[in-house]
Amino acid sequence: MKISAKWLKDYIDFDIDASNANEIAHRLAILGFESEAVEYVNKNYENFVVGKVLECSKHPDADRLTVCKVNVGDEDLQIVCGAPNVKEGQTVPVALVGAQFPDFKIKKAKMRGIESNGMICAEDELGLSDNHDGIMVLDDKYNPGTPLKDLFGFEDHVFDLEVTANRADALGYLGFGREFAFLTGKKLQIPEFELKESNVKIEDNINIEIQDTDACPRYSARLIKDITVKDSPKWLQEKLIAVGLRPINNVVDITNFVLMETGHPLHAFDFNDIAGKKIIVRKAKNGEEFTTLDDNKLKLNDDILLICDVEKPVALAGVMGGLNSGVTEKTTDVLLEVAYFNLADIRHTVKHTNILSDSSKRFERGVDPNNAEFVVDRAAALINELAGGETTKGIFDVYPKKIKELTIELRLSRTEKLLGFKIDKEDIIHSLNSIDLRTEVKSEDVLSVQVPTFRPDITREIDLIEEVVRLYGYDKIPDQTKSNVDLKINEDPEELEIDNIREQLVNMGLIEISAKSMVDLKYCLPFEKKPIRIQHPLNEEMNHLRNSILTSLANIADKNIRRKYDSINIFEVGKIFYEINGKLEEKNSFAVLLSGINRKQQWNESELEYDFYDIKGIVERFFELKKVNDVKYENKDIPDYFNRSQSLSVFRNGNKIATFGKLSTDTTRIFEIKSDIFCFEMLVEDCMELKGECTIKELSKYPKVKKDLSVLMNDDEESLTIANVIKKYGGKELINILTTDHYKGEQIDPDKKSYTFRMEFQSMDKTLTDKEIDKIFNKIINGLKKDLNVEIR
Amino acid sequence: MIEEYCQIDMKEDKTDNLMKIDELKQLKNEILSEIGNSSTYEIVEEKRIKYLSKKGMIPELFSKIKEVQNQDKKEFGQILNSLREEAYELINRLKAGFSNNEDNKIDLTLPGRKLPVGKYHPLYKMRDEIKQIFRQMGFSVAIGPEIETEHYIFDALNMPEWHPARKVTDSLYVDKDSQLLLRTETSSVQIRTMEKSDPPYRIICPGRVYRNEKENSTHTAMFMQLEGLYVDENVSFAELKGTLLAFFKHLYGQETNVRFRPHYFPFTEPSAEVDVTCFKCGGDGCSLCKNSGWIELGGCGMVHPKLLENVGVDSEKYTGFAFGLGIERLTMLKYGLNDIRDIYENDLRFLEQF
Repeated sequence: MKISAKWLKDYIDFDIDASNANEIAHRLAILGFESEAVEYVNKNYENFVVGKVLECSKHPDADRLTVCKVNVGDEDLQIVCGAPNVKEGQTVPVALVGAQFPDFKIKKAKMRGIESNGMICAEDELGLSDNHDGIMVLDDKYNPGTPLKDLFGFEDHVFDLEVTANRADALGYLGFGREFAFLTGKKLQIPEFELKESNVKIEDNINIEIQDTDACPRYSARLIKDITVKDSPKWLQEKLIAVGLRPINNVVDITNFVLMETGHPLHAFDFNDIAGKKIIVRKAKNGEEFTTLDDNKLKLNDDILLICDVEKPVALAGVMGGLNSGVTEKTTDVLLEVAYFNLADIRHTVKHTNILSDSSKRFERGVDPNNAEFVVDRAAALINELAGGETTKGIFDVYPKKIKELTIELRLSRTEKLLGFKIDKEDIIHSLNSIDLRTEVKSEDVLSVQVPTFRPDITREIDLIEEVVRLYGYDKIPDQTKSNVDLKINEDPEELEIDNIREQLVNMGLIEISAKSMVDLKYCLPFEKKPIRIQHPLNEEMNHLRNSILTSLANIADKNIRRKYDSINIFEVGKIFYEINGKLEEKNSFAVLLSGINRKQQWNESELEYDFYDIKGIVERFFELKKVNDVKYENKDIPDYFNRSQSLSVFRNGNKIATFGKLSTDTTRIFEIKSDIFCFEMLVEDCMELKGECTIKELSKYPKVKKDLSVLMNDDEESLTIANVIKKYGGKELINILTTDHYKGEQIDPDKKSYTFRMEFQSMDKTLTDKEIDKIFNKIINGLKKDLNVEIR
Repeated sequence: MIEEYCQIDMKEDKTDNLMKIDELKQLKNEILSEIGNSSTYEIVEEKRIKYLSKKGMIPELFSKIKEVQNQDKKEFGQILNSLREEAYELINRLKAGFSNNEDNKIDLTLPGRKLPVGKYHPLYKMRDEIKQIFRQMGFSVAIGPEIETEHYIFDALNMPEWHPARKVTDSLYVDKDSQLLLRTETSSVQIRTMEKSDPPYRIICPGRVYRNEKENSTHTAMFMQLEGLYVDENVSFAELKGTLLAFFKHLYGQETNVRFRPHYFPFTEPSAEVDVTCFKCGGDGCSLCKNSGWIELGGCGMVHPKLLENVGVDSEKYTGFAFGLGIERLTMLKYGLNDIRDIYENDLRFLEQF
């Protein structure tokens, strides 16, 4: 809603100028009316004066130019003019040397050899209209030399207010003025006017029937005959332009003016287009067609409320008039409609037609049902004033069930409790009264408040409390904090687990990402869970919800690889969504993805690519940090999207809880990735089941001894088998086994491989002697030879 | 000279066993300058052995104090003490200077080897920070489903039938028939929390929300919201302001201020929009705050009694407040990001900078 300070002054005697405009904007914001912008409009017409054309003669060298002698008060100037309508004796606007136009400045100049000392202006050049047919001719009553500022000059500040959805009453100057009057402490002046009626009764000319009184509780109309439709006077045009409306003709402009003034939309029909001289308010038929004023052809449904005559619809109720019945220059009789529609019905129409108008915007928030008389009379009086004609006698008012004012009780104690501070009772009464919320003291604690019908947003006590604190000033609300600690632990355990997982993964050097939950279906397909479709996706790239965190990670890996980012080590914890047995499920899940270079080449080490052992290391470390030591890794139950020969599933108590390893080439192809992808995904809830205990072992005071052992074995033999045998024979002094080397190559049989194990021995009770260690070591060697088909190197 | 003197001193023990103070002073200077002239760590060590070791010259001189004339004994001792201390200090200082073994000179300009380091995503990092602050104030973190029913998204929130947010086209539905959609607000978590137990509630609900919105530099179809709820006996509007003020002071610094402007939300009454002192200009006005000195960061208000009644909470006994903030916006402001889409692009070149 645009509020012109100049227009506002018609109702409130308060000056807004450059010195206070920003402060007013700030105070309005604190009152609940934030302005998106305060526009300063300044037209002071410096170096523009009234001139009188004394003489005109043809330019010797240019047919279309006229050389004029123009009196501008103190002197006569020679001005070359290009307009065809310039004539001797005209009173005209003159731009003197130094006058500034948007893109040029008037200078002393020669035009085709003849000196010119100014410019006679057209309307558009003065910014008064779009008219450029010729120079503007002024009334002779203005004396030459009069500054143009005295005629057209104005200075204005326009506030572009953001009015919240509940405050339809403030979408008009009088409603907003009520608030502004409170802010400035001035009195709101309601415009006074006199409406003369003819002896012809409106009822003798028209009939009105409401078929759906729920959708249209009130319909009021006035009929004005024998008017002359023409352009509006300057003052009216200026006001409309200031608030961003285009002047059309006097009748339409008046309806817009009254809408802006009262906040109540009204519509003017060309009465001669109303067939059968009857207005019928009814719902549309399915498929019924209608063309709006702005030539928009619509197909309607039976939720849409229409204003019709006996033959056809003439308006979309509360939204927009029809092309078939609008006011034009030919109109002589107008029917003025002021109605009150059900909010929801207007919203149906807006939703269906997508038409947002100044009218619908107000009706869908709720206008005052009880101000129809003022609105329609104000408009009729203005029409009589500006377009002549006669207003027929009476208002045709169909209002079967009057909407009554609410009376709400406001408890001062409740107000204080809710706000956390006390506002003086007299202040509350005063401020509520000043915005017409009429209060009556019921008891020490209770005020009874009469809520006018222009405030449909106030329906219960809490709404009044809001008004009280709003009028008191949001800037004066004190800051309070209470410090108290809950004895009850309310933290969601899953959320705590998620943060714990994130911390572990970041500590392992992984990068956390945050991907959207919506993905393209094709990326969901490789994964087992049935994806969920979004019914009206924004685009096909976001038509499903991800059914695995890996959809996101693989997608992000692909994008980064394309950017030549060659080392991908990412993870995300988030929701996955899927359908199971016809039910929609969502679960928190987390996944890790590795691809490309693990360790970038540094000056003393070579570049390493991520491989299976990197993801395995992450998984092992993950469980290790969780203090879980009873998980088993087995090469079984591997989902198809993994490469079976480089993947393992994680089992605990016989249940599979995750799989990790290399993605199959079929899967990576879907993500258009050429490099190997190693990944791991697990549900957070499965992770919460893992409750390992952190037990601190006693440390030995005696030295530790290390011994290496290289074992040559068949290629298909697994290191774990060897380690288990070593463990079996190592006794309690063997405290650790590490695999320190892996060899395959020329020095050994091609069917064989060699592993080096480092064993660490330590006793809790004594220093182990060489002899004792050799004894254990030999036991291990013998055991290996006995149990397995291996050679010791 | 030193060598010579010692020899003489040792040999002619008996003939002239009285060393003069002046001589000792000179000797002290000579010793110190000899040590000082050492050019390598090894030479310093040699000098240490020569002068300070058990059998070195300085202990030797100490043993001679008894041979000094009585009236000089005290001064002689003092000089020796200071010699010992100064020599000791000098040697240590020199050693520290030489302790880098020149034989193993390395190229100091080669880059250091870094251990791999993980990174939190900036959005989650901000969320963590927010959670931390609210936890200090006694709030707990609550979470809830992202696929929700219309009931929890609209009805329970007192969202009027006509509210624009209710438009089917503004939400992302997964099953229109059973009225299932992706939550547009995390307020659903608040309702679920209130349904589950009795007041008091003091929770924050950070989480993803979804809107059917065209994406641009300030909007994404999915973003992360943080909502808070505090319901108890005597929770007031002034406490809401105090709580948010405390939060923003923790986030942006002690000088931060909070401004409330009246607003309208269907789920709170009274409602306010929250402005925070522009942390770039400190409120003086700059391009970030469009010269207003304030940055709008969220909405809040007192929980509408109807909402409490809907979940069976006595709205006369209990009052409460709720607030909502956009975590992306807080993140963008913190790091000076201009495009919200960067947050969800996950360009690793971008992420590794945090």
